[in-house]
Amino acid sequence: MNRLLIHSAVLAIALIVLIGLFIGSTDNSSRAYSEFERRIRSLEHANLNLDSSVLALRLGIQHNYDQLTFHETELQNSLNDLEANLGIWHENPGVNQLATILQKLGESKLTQSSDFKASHSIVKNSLAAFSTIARRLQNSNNDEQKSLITDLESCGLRFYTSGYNVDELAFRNAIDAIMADEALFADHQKRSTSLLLRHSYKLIELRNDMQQSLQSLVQTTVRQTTEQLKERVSILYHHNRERQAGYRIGLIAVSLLLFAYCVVQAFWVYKYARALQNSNQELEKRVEERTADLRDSKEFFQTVLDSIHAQVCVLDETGNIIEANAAFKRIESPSHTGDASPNYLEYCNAPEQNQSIANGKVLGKEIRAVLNADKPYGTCELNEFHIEESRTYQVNVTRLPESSLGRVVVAKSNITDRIVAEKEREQLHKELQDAARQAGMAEVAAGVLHNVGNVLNSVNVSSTVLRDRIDSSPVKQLVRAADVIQGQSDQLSEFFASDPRGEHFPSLLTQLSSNLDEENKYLAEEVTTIAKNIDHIKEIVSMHQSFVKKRGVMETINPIDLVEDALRINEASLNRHQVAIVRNYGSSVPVIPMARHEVLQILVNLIKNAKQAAAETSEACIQLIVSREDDFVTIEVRDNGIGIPEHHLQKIFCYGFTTKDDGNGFGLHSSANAAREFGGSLSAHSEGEGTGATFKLRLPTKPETKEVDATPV
Amino acid sequence: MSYGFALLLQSASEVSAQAICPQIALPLPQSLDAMLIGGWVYVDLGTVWMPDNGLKYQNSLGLLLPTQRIQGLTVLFLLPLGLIFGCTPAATDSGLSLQQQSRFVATVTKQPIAPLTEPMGLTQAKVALGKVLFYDARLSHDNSVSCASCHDMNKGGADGLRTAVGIGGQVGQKNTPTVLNSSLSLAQFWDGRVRTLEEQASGPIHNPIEMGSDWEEVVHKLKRDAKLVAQFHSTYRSSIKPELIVDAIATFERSLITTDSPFDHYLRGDESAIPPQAISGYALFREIGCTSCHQGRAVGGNMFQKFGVMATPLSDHPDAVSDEGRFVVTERTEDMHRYKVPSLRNVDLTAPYFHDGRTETLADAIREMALYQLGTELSDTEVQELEMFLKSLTGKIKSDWL
Repeated sequence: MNRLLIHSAVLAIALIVLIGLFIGSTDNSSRAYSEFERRIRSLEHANLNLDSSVLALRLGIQHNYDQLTFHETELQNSLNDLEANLGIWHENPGVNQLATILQKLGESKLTQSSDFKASHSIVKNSLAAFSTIARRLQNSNNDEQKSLITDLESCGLRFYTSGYNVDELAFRNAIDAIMADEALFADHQKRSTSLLLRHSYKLIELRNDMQQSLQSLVQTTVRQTTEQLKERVSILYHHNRERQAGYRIGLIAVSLLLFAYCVVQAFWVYKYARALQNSNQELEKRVEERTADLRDSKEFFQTVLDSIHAQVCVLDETGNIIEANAAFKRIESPSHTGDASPNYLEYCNAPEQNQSIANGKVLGKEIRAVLNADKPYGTCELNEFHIEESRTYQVNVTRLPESSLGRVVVAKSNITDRIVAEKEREQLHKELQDAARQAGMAEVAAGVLHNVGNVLNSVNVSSTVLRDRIDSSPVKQLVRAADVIQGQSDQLSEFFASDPRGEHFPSLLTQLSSNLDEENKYLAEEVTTIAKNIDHIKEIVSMHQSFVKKRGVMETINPIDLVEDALRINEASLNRHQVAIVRNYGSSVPVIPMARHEVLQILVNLIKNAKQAAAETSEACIQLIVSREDDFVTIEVRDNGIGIPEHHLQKIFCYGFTTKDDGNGFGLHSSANAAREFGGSLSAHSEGEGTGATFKLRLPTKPETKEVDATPV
Repeated sequence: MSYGFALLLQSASEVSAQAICPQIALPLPQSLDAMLIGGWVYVDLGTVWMPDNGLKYQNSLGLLLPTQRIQGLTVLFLLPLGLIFGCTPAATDSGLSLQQQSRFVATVTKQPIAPLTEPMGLTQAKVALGKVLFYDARLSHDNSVSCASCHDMNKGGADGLRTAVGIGGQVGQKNTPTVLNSSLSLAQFWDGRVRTLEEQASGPIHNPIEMGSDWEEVVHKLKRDAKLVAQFHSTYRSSIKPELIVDAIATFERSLITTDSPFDHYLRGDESAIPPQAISGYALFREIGCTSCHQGRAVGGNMFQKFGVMATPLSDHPDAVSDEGRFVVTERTEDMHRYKVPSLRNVDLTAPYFHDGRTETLADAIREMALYQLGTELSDTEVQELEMFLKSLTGKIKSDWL
């Protein structure tokens, strides 16, 4: 850009300079000068001719004034011509002044010429008449008068010729002599004599005037002034020429510079052109490569397109098919894939000719809408009826970015099979659902049974303890004591007083009563436990019953209490397995609303699992951590048991997954499900086998009331 | 050698040296011009073929240095150079047309009077247009007076009145000069106040007692004439303009040369063309000195002369008006009472005579002239002879002038 600007500027400046120099060097004065010279020459001619004519007249060579008059006219014309056509030299004051002088001189010369003509004609006439009359008088007079007249004639001629004063005096004397002669004035020749004298006087009067006119005419410096004017204009002209020559040299110099500049530029241009050519070739090569790539990719895409079962075609803005894949070509009517690029839109909009299409107009509308850029893509379903079957197509119309390759892509895929498959899948799904329901019911039953089983275990333990206790009850001793007393009922007092056995009776009874009391207390405790457990079983059952209808009753309780409850439920087995319990309860654990029994169930499960995991290790220990995390309360059950391998971690909450021989894989699954239902979560963590495991139950402090599916499972 | 060279150049030129030399030759001119074929280069050779006199040569080629001394031969070599470089396209004519030169040749004769020749080089279209305008009364204010009103061809190109009569019957102060041969006069009007016919033509149009109009009016009136406008356009390729009107009229007037007079035939050698009385009248005409002023082709018209050389004609005429003559124009005392010497061609037709039309008959005019100008009294026979001679000067008035 800059380069272009610089070149343009240089060329423009050079051009301006050249034009300026050319104008400066233009020869605007040569023609004017030649014209001027011609006029000057014509003036000189006329001037010279005028002089010649006057002299010719004076010498008597000429006999009329036509020639002189002609030259006068010529001179006048030349003067006027010159005056009016000074041309470019008119501005020069010197030239102007000279021209004015010349004009004045010329006019004066013409006046002199006119005067000369007037006086010359009279002088000539008088001279002629003078001679004629003198000759006549000579002939008619005697010698005396004749000599007088001869004298007059010769004096007159001499005066006419010379014009000297002496001759004039002599002429006048001769006139006086004639006037003094009376004989000459005799009547018969008085008129002639007096005419002779009048002509003589006319000669004296006008001869010198004529001569004066002639001399001043010849001496008028028209020629000299003309020469001066010529000289001056010539100098001006040559100054002009020199200046023009200077401009011409400048013109040539600038032209050469410009030429050199052009040569340099041409060299550069050549160089650039070479470079350009090289890069062009390279570019062409690259373009060829690209073209090949493009061709390859086109083939590739064409192949890909052709391999697609869907029928794909590309339409231009009028709806003409400009590209189509093999499926399209194969399936669509051949009349729409011809070379004439038939209009697909028309095809769609003309169902009467293509009765196989049921709703072509819908497709046509879609294509039109996409073509008009009303929307970027469109889709519709198309039903076509073929001889053997009815097909359903899904047609996608996609707008292409602005390109020459087309406007929209119409992809038509046969979805008949898919629809059939979908229907089948729906059927399958329904069946699956039924199966799932049954499975769910089984799962629920299993969950209930499992939970109840767990509790029943405790009940069983308690009942066994009760039976053992009852079996070892001191009641039998009491019965024996009572039998003894019964047997001694008549001599009770002696018995007590004298019999040794009776002597022991009070202490025995005291002992017995205390034992019984102790036993009674213990049994009561056990019964309470059993009752509690039975109550729990009842809760479980009722909870599962209520699953069908609604969630378990929400109670606001302290999670720590719940943990304690859970521990208590597992107390017996924990004690049996000698598992140490570490309680790590946070200080600010809030009271939260929850479904007590479900959470308890989860915790029982977790603790039981922890116990089972830890039981096989020495110094088994279960750590229970309750803490608060933002809006959640977390309860962690950490054991130092066998741990969970990583690949198990991922599916530990899956239904049916278990590592226990007698497990059913339901506990953790249902626990996790329950936790999710509360709005909380259950997660497991383990560093690996033998490192123990941590199960973390998170419970929301503000559980959201979740709509539960009321459908019975 | 130099002179031969000059002739060599001149023989190549259109200008014949033979045509110029007898005319201007005596005495030999200081310089001569030569012109190359076609008039392309015009060389002032006057200083060239006298190389030894030290005159500087002013070249007209522009190529040569201004004050360079040039040998005649060198010019020959340099001329083509000059042509090649073409620095100065020189003048295209010598200033003298062949016609003019031939007229000179014709006047080199012992006779004071030369025969008239047909005018040459006039554009016929202009002559025709000029004639139309010459007869066109619209040139006057009230459309009553045309040029031809006063310059009646049937009355010798004048009006036959003592002084001119213009529009509304107004009477002028001067006798109407004839239009015939007027182009041969050195000036127009009695006092010669204008030089050319063109200048003269506009005079009467503006003169309030002659035509009393002006150019604006005239052009306005003429432009309404479509035919005339068309004629102007075909002749001048221009609309009607005052200078063109004048040019056309002047061109027409230049064509009014009355050739074929008996006397011209006599001059050309036909002794029987005029009666013997006229021949003796011609001799008398020369003898008594009439030819002092009345000479040349037009028998006058080429000079101004005092009216009353030998006697004063003024006081004895009671109606004399404005007799100052050319003094009115030049205001030189020498020009007091000077008038243009009128041509005597067709003088028989142009009575009354003199600037104020004071004289009714030719005989009286002859007598008055002899008396006032020559101081002589003529006998009746002499007057008759002179009259016969003057009548032989009447040339042919062509029918297409009418």
